Amino acid sequence: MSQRVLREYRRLVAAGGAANESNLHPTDPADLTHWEATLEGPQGTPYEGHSFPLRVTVPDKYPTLPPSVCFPKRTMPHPNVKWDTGEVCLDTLAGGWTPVMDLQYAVMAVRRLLAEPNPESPLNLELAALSRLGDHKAYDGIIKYRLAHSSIK
Amino acid sequence: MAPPRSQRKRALNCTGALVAAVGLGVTCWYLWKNYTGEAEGEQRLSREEAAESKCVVVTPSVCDVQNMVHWEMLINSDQEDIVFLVAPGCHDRFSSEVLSLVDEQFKYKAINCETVDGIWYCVKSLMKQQLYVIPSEVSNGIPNDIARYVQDIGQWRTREDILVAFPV
Amino acid sequence: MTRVKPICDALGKKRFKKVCENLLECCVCTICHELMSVPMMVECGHNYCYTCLKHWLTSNENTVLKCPDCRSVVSHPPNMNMFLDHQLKYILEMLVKNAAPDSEWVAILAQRDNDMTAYRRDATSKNLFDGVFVNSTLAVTDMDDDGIPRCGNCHWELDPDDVDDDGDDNVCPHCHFRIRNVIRPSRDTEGTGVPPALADDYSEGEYESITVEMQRGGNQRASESDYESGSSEDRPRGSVYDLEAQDSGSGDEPHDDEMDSDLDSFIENDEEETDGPGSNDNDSTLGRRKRVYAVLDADESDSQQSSPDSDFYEHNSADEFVSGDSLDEQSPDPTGRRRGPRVALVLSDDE
Repeated sequence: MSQRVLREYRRLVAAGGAANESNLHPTDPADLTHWEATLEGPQGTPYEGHSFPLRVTVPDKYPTLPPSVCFPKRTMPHPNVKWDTGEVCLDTLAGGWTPVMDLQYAVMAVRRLLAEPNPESPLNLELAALSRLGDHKAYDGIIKYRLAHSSIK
Repeated sequence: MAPPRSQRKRALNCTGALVAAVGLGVTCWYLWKNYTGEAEGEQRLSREEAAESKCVVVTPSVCDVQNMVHWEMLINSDQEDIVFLVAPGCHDRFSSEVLSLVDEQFKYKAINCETVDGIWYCVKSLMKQQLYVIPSEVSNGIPNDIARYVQDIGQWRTREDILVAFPV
Repeated sequence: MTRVKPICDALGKKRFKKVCENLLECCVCTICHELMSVPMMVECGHNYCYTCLKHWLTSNENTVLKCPDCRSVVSHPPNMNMFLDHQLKYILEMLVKNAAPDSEWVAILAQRDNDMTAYRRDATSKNLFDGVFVNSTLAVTDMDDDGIPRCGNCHWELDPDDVDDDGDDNVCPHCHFRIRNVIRPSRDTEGTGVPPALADDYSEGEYESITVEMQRGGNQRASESDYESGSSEDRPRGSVYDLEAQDSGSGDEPHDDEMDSDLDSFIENDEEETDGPGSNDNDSTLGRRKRVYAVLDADESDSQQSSPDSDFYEHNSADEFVSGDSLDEQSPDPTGRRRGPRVALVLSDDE
């Protein structure tokens, strides 16, 4: 495991909770490959008031390669998140990645995506279409429906 | 007299083969059960779990039958997996006549659509088992590809048809 | 030396410490978060460890080489920042002076020496950064020409089947330069390309039709009374596909009755009727747009074999040798056809 991720972990621990609002932490501190975070739904979006777990996997070649992030299946209705698998499509975590970014940056980028979806690279075609169409009521309605429906189950 | 050695050996071999066959059979059954259970589960998940999940496109005639069908009873029910897609022009009426009678926690089951295309994107996104719509009250009718996203399409022609699908 | 002491005195203890921390912060590599080992300066001025930068620049994820911080293109090999290297060495030596033999500073200094040895070895053998600057280039594709990717060094045609993501086969067959970007076959560039995550759910045709429909729907702003009219007026207005429907339904097909110039179909003609089926409030605008945009479908393109309207044939007859240079000539049209204005062509599959 790269020394870099170990340094990040130590820095996060030293900085404490105030600097780590997404509660990013490794699932197992002895193995820094798998991390978890919790994203709060941004205000002013249909995600407001909800918390979303996020899984982060650090590759061996990190930070040359970006971490991969994923929501649990069928928890995140979003134009750039595949509903059935939780896979996220975000340029920062693909072609736009550079090694000066870190795990916290990646998590924050995903949180920003909730408020600013990118209809150009959709993984949820119907939601992306609603966003492009400008049918905000339907867009918000579908997201709220999904969130309420899955939480009731 | 004890059976000869060759017979004992043959008996042992047969027993061993039988045990192996039974073990293989059990393993195969277990794997098959797991596989179909998973496949069924996934299919259920992709078809909105409930046995008869419903999607109703709300147009003026659907609003007209409110005093007979009482849509709010369906919305307020935990047992009913039903969603209402309110077409443009019906938002206010559906809100005042139906949603005003709905508990806050269930209001998510009514989705206002600002565009006709938005209605169909919602249908495709939700993938309920049954779709109920009055095609004559929706411009351009039902898109050709909707059948991929729902199992049954209940096309109402008159208000009476609605009452058949949702008896009073 | 003469200016240093007054500066220290002027800063005072607290601020001096802050300045020192700031300076040390500049000595930390933003990739590995350690003190830089063999600092290399990129053209833009950012500095990184030689090893860290080498891993980044030689990563197969990279197409164009960019600075990790500012993303400016790195065209030339970074040079060692001698000044920074000396300062770092001095800092480490100070740290090691009173440190225990097994302290991390001793290990870091030893690692730094190893890195320097490796760097010098690479420099001597002219293999800095694994030769990424020496013998590599980008594949370039001129979509206006033939759409075939070519080596950026020798312009040899590159077969997309011979180059893959592993990078091992990413080599020009002619000059053997490494091709830093992954080549996509030209046929793929015509389609939208299904994201891998959706490959199981949609075929390319389905995905393309859905995304095209999404783009069309983005122009639509239907009114609330749409369901009442039940008319075809909620087709998106002002979109090319609307015009296509009008073109095919109107019975007025300027391409068909063209004798001497198909380009006339692109020419604005105010006398053309603007009322077609499904016309609406912007009919005059649509009428004009009808003349500006032409939709070529497969049938039409086939029927135009005898009277092609591509740029080349504006200047040359069909029998002449095809030369790229001829496209730039301002020679008069030998067939006497009137050249129309350059307009956008929308190619669509005939349904």
